Amino acid sequence: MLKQYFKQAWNLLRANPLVSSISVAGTALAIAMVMVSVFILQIQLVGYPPESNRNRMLYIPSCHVSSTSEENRHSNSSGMSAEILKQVFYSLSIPEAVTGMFSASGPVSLHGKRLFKEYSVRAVDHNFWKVFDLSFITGTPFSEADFESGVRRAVISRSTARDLFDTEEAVGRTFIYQFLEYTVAGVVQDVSPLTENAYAQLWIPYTTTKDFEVNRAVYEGMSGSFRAVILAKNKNDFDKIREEIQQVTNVYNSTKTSYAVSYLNAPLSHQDVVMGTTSYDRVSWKKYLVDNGSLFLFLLLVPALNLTGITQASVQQRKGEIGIRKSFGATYKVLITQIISENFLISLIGGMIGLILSVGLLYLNRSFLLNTNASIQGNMLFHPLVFLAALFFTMLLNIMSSSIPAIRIARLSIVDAMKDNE
Amino acid sequence: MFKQICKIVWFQRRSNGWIFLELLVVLCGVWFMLDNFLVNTVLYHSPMGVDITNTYRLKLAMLTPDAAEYVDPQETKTRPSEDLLTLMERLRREPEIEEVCATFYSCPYSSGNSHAGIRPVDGDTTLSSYRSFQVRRVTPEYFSVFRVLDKNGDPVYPQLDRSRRGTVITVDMEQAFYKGENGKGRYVQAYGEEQELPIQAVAQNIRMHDYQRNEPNYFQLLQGDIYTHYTENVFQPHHAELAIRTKKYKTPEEVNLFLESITDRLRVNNLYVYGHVAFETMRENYLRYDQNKQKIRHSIMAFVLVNVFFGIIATFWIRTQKSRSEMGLRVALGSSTTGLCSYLLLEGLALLLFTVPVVLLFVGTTLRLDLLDTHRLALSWWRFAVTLGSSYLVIAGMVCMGIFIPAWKVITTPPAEALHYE
Repeated sequence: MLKQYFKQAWNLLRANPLVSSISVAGTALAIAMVMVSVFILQIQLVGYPPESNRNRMLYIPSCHVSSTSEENRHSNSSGMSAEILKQVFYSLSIPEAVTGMFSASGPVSLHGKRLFKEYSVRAVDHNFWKVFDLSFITGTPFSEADFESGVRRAVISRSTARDLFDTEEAVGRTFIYQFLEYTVAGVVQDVSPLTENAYAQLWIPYTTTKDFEVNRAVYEGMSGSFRAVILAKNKNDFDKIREEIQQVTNVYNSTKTSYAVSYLNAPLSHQDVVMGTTSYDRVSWKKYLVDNGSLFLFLLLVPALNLTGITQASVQQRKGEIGIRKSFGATYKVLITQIISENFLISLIGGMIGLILSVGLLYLNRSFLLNTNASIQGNMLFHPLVFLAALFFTMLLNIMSSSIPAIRIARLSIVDAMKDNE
Repeated sequence: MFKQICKIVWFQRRSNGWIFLELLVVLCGVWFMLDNFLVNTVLYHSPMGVDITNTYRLKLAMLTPDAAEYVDPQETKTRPSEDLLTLMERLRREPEIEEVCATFYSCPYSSGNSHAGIRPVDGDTTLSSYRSFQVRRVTPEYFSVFRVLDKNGDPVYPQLDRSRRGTVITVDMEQAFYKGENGKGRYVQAYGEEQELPIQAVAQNIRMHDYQRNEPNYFQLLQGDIYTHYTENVFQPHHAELAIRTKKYKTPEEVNLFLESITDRLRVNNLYVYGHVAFETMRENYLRYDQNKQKIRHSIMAFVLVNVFFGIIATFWIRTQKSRSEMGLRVALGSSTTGLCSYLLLEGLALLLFTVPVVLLFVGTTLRLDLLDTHRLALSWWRFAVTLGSSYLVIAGMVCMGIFIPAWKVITTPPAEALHYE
């Protein structure tokens, strides 16, 4: 029966090319807009190199230091110090790995030639390479021993290597950063700014200068510039890790006289971050769904309203046919199924075009949709869930736009339908 | 004729209902977005008060003790604030540079937002207590680098007396203190300061952000002991925003080359220039968030408009197809094609006209609920006339196009063929 409906729908499509193309275009546009939003969400949420394990990551972007004295109550929120990293986060036993880091930017010079072009720099520890899976072209990351003894070995991206040395084979070459000499230990594929926890053009150990570690270490050595990223062995360990952090922090705080540290809402899971939760402000599922669901609903409602009008007008033209089908015994349910199925063909064609269109729209408008001109790779976009989402929204749009006209025409009495009454 | 059109619209109320509803929703949405667009456009094109063409910020840093070139502060003969002045003087001597100034969190697009208490000594008596206004801490050359003009359009810089302490206020602040009277030459007192400062000039309003309106603010001129105090006790020399104006425009690569050519002059003891950024680039970065948000809003508006266009064109196409026989009869009875076409157009426009009372109700409700942005741009008749007029013009244009294309196809059908459908 469905095959028969599709055949009929195909013939109807061909009989009225203008209206059919408008219906298809309207559906395509709606699905394209919805899928652009789905893609943006996916790029932020799903893991891909070098942040393949996003679903196992916990972030501590800052710390909150408050005075413990009753007389002089004040507090400060900022990054954490290297001391907290070492005494609290590096001592955790449940996670697979913990890394501490901070970001900076500055020019990189060569021997005998000071240059002024700035690069994004990330000062990290040796665990950074366990938490994030950057792809090495040549060389290796700096080792734990390098990190502990503050050996100035750096990892640079492919474009930085080409920029500075005109070649990707830069291992062993040297450069100057902040008047300190570094040797290239490895060259990695360029990292997309969309993976913002791993992104940089140059990675150096944060132990290479005391200045990094003591940098802004105020409030009894608690505040600083660092953030921590935890890689759990399993997603289900998150609660246990949070508990362990609390226990270790309590012990750490007991060694202090005037201040105590806390992390407010942190540690945050990747999902929390995508939903907009920060250390200071928690976004609940309800708020997130209301905010984003209303956008999705709006993007579907406007074209649904428009497509309802078109379906309504074209179904009205077929009242005679419906009247005859009813007089030969077609039931209410059969007629509704027929109209919704016929309309589904239009929606399906529109949905497929919309999916392709959405990739183009996302690519062309990435500068303002994703705040970056970075290239978008296939592994960021295409997952089986995307196709399911596209199909789901196409079906939803189809039901929204064709159910009312279908119900209205199926309810008409045989006489009214055959008389062509409004 | 209008009565007849109203009758037709009423008789076809079932299919017109969808279009009417769609037009209504879209008109309200388009008007709201156009109002926001108008506010942003008016502010974006209002004067900022500073000229940032050919201006660049030089970034400063201090050498760390790990660097080979580090100079022990005990061994230097000059104070850190003097090092900054030396650096500025060296830059000023470069033939390609027109002027150099230093500011602390006060240069354009720096996000600096310091406020301090100040009161007029002989102005509005209601302001005898201190009120907090935004303060910009700048060396006097700031007014030359950014070509700040006074309220009469004359440059502020030549009006400054470099030999004594003083301040510069903006026109809005002059209005707040002296209610239309001239402020130049009168005295103000900053909170915590004993000395009364003469107002050396009244500068045009200077805004922080291209999408924000002006707020009253004043300048603390950093010269003599005030300069030393702020550079050494309140801030650090490397916190200064060193701004230069070049004689002609330079691309980032040209600035790199220029700085590379004067590298030996860019370090004074431990203070050194490490990078640069054009103020135009700082502006782009500063506005990116707002502009991206606007682009997303405009994309949604375009999406809605295209959908409405599709809806109108398809519905009128089906309707005119249905009334081909009636059209044929009219043409056969002597109706002209243009007359018939305008008849159909009027039918669509009448539908649009019927939305006016509901749209006005919506406008009234948004006003009552204070949903319009009246902080950045005051309410006025011209604001409503422009936004409501434009909304109706845009939608009317789409309605006409949506009707004209199918109508013209039917009208130009030969009467004999059209009557055949009868």
